[in-house]
Amino acid sequence: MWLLNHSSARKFEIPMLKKLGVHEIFMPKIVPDSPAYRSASVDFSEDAALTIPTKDLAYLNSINWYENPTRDAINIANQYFDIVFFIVIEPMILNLLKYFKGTLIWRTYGLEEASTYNGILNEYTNGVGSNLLKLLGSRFVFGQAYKNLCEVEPPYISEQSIYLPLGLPSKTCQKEWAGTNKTVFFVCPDIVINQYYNDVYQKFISNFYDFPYVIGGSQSILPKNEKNVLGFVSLEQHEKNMCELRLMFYHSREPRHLHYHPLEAIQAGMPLVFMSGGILDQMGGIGLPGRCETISEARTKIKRILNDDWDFINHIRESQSIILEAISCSNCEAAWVDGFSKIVHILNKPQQTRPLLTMPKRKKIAVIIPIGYRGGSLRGAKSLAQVIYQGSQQAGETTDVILAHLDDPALYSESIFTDLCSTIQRRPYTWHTLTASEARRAMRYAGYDDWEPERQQYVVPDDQINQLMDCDLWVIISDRIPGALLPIRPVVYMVYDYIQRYVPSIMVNDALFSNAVSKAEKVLVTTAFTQQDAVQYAGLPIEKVKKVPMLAPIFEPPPARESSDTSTYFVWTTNAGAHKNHENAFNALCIYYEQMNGQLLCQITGVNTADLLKNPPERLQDIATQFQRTPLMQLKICFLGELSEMDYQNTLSKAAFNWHAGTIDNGTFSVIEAASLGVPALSSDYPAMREIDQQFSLNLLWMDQSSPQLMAEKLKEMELNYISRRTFLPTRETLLEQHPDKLANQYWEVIRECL
Amino acid sequence: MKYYGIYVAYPPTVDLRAQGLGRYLAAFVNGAGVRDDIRFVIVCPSWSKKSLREIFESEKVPAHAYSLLAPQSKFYILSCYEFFIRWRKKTTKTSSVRHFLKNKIYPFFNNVFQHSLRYIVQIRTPFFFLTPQFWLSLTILLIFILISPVLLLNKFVSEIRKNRLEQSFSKGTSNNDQKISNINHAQEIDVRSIPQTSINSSNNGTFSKIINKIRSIISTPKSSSIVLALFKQLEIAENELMQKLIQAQKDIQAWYIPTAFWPFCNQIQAPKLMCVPDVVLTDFPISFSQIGGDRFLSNFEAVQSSIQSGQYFVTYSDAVKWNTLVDRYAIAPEVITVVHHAPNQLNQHISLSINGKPPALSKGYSELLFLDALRKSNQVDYVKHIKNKSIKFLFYASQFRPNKNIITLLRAYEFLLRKGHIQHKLILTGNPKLYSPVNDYIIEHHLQNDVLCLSGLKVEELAACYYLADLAVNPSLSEGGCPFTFTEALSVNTPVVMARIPVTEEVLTDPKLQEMTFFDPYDWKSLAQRIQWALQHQNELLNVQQDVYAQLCKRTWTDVVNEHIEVLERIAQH
Repeated sequence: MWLLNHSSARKFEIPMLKKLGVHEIFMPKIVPDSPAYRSASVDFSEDAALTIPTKDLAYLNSINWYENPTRDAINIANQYFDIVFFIVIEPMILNLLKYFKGTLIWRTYGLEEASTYNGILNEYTNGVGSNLLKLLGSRFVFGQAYKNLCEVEPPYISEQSIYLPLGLPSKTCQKEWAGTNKTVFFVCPDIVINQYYNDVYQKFISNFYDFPYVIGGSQSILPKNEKNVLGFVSLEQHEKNMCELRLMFYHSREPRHLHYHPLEAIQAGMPLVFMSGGILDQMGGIGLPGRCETISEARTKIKRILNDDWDFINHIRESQSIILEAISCSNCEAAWVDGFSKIVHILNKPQQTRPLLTMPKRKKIAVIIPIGYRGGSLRGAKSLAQVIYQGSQQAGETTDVILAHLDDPALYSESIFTDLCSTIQRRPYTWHTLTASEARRAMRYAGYDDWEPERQQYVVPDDQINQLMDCDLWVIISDRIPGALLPIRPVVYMVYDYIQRYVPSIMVNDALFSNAVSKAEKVLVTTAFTQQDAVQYAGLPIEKVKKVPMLAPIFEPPPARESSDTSTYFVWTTNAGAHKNHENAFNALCIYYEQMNGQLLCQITGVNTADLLKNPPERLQDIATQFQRTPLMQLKICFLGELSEMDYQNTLSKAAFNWHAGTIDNGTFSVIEAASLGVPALSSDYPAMREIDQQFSLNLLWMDQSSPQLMAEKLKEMELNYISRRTFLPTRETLLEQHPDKLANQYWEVIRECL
Repeated sequence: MKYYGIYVAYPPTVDLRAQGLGRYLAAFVNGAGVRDDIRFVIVCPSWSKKSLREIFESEKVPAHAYSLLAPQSKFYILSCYEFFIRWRKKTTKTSSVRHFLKNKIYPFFNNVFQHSLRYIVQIRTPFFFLTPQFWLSLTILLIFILISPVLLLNKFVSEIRKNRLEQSFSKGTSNNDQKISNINHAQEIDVRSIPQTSINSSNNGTFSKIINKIRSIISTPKSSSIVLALFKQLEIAENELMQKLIQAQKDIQAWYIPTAFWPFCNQIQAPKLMCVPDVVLTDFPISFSQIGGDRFLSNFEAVQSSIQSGQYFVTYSDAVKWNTLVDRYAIAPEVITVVHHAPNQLNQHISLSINGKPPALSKGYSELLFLDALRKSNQVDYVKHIKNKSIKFLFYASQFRPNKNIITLLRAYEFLLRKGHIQHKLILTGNPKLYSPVNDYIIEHHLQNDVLCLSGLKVEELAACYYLADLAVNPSLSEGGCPFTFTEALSVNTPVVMARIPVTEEVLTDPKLQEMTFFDPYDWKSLAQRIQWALQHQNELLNVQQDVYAQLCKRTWTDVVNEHIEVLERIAQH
């Protein structure tokens, strides 16, 4: 697989690979629409030679290998391909390093002097890349186009380097250079959008503004007021330019990077005036008449060429061909044969059989509850742990799942985990803080040799065994971690909402949380609404945010009851959160009882609700006062507090309806729980609830949660119609379609990509 | 005769008698002692020669099995340092030595020095060097110059001490009488017992910082970056001399390097076989990051460097071969050989021959040893009242390290004690004061009188503990080879339960034994269940384990050495 798409490199390297006996070569068919790929193009010509099944080829061709090389695609590639050539693009490299089983050749053509490939790799991958690369052993090859590229790289790269020189494809244009146009040709792409090339351009202008010149190279945006910048030109025009322009000036003194165009100029017979110190020196350029130590020397030489000093021109043209010798097909071929034979030798080397016991163990995933969640959030965490386990089992990739929660017996007693599947191991932990130097040491020991702390402190979950290091992936329920998480394990966050965006009174450490999710492998959300928040508010790239179905508990139905059974109360499921719209809800209840003669009692249940109006938060002070002064309200409203699972189901199953009065969040499962018990629901109208309604076919009755009057009217409507609304409820079969067991595979598809 | 080299490069001041590797080396060379065709040449730094000889003598390694080479003499600065450490240890025990030095030795030297100096300056004849007085004076002067750093250091420490107490006193008098009484008391206390903070609080200037720095070097020299840098330079210089010695050994066909801690070994030009028992820090990065500071990191980097530039390797298990050397360090599997351990047996240490009968395990002797061992407990006040020699207990012999998984054992034990009512105590052999997670857990859960930590046990005491325990437990998450717990316990007829980890599964392969013996070390409930079951089925478990133990005992340490020699022979031919 040659995953490069570089047009000029392809012209030489694909024929060279064929000469070496490689007859089947796959090349990507999708190139991202970005200036970074300005030298890339798509070529289907090798597909015909591939003997892989059409369906698989079509799938491989449908993959954007640069931005989303899926694990499935790489698994297919593993079936047919032994070697992959790749470049460092973040999703591409991580997935290839993780999943490709053959030899990986990192094809490198050099960087500017201040950069190293090791640095770029670690910058793109948060330090993970080098670690993965080291694990490849002899399967990793640093395929350098120039012998000196590895000199500035660490041993894990330099020791794996093999010289696969840059080659120049044969000349395609048959016209001879004439140099009739007395103009300097300078190539400088992307002047407007690339700061590096903009600097190069500015320097050129300041040094050579008084000469006639044209600027070649692709320009994503054409600079204004610069008539000499050519921008895109057709092949014919390009060939014409190469024949007619009097000379090319090449600016680069970079010791480890060379552009194609000076070579192209030499090949075309155009005189090249170039600066010393660069790769051209290493290719025989020292002593050539076109070589210049200083800009002043370059100006003098350019002036002579423009002034028709044909002796000088011919001297340059005749002597500069020595550079092409270095990259001639014959010279390059010998190096490629030598380099490739080493690679093939590694490929063919008999492998020692690895004892079964030392094979990588079954994967282990920790589902971490970062703060003292209870109620629905705790139920959600348990469900997530279970679907990950079930999903892995259903896919034949059984994975161990650990549910990690805070080591607080008062909060998490044995009894609240009795419903947890026995295959899920439970592990208490505490958050432990590491200093920057401890964090650095931990990362070094874990193999991240280049990682440096950016903060004074980091946190890790400490289970007093091995800080969950036995788990291959950490799935964290919500982004509410108490500090910067040490990036020692891949992390997936399950983010339910960005409620602070809509309820500003809810204060959260946005900087900390956003930083956390930005470093995640994936961020799971359960609604399209939160997905948009993750992209628009947290600023995550869309490909990182995966929407998965909601996991709602489907309760066992209560003993059969008559469809006409009446009830004396409805259940308001809530908690003490500021986003639960208590002010409007209590006002609505007041209207319902006092003005509309509401008959049904209101039973309030949920975490921290028992004393909601006894010890009210500031925002509910007025409501509490009013409640104390209104005997009717006290008579009709009952605060049940947090109920046990059994009591909750019992209470809910006998209710007339369930009331969800919140402002906005990721939706509540209470309406689903109610439906599974045969109880209809009245709900606030906001996007997440609409999505829940749709996924579970609930046929909720909607109300405008911003108006107590309208809320009260809907309460009254439910009082009058709750029996008939039971007929709108989904059937048990419909609900069971959304049972977590049925959705497990969708979760597993996302999670397995992160392992 | 074939010659093989062993490269030893411990840093200065390490006493090999206290190192497991020292005993291992002795066992290794001893194993070769039965072969007439092999001789080991050990090259070590000058500072290790004496302790190597001592350990070889104590382990009865036959002299014909090896020769020991080291650079001729120790660096002067190291000798001074060692002298200082010895002196410091003595003065920690008693101040009379300091007193003796100050009042007797120092004036004596001073007199002699003045006398010699006087003689030299009074010389008037060109043939002065023919007089014995001249040579005597010169010798005395030279001796004085050589020991002057130590004397100066002593003087300096005294000055610091004086300075600090004066400052404390002046501060104390400005406050109240109570303070003065405290200071008077403080004058009786050795300078090293004053907390750092109390000094810092009274000294904020640059001079004070320097003094504090020097003080910290003196009190804990091996934690000092200056001392470590000094050692590093010494090692570099010593290594150059060792390399010359090594190059001169033309007969040596291959070299054995018993640990990866010594990256200089890769300068040896001949074929090299490096032993990598494990690189445990890679598996427990977070816990180890809080131990040993950057000194540990520096050692770790040295190990990595050795491995990455190593040639041939030997490990004690397939697990370390594949999961560490191949997976982590990308070493080609074909250059790594696995040589498993032989059993470690303890029965001979508590077997007595009574009335001419063959030696047999002695319960009475073990109980005496056990009572002695109990006195080494961290709970001195509690254990001094224990008179019951037959106390029931579970036993885990190990230092406290992050990979040892002690907290899981404590969780399981606490459950069994308080919910399962097993009555047993738990006896450990680490020092909780050196590893706070264990110490904290024991205190927080009020287990001080049931979890007893007996550190610094002699081998006889260790054997006695194993023998008297109802059950040996090993919850370790990671080891270089199959833990010795199994053979050590079975050698004295005590059953064992062990963590199911690859190195253990690799050696203890019998399915029935695995089912009875192993537990999931990441799940304290699994451990608790296994212990409970084992206590209820001791004989059944012991019978199954004794069969496997008998099989394991067919392998001896001579086999281990022979396998190493086979590898050395093989690599010598490459």
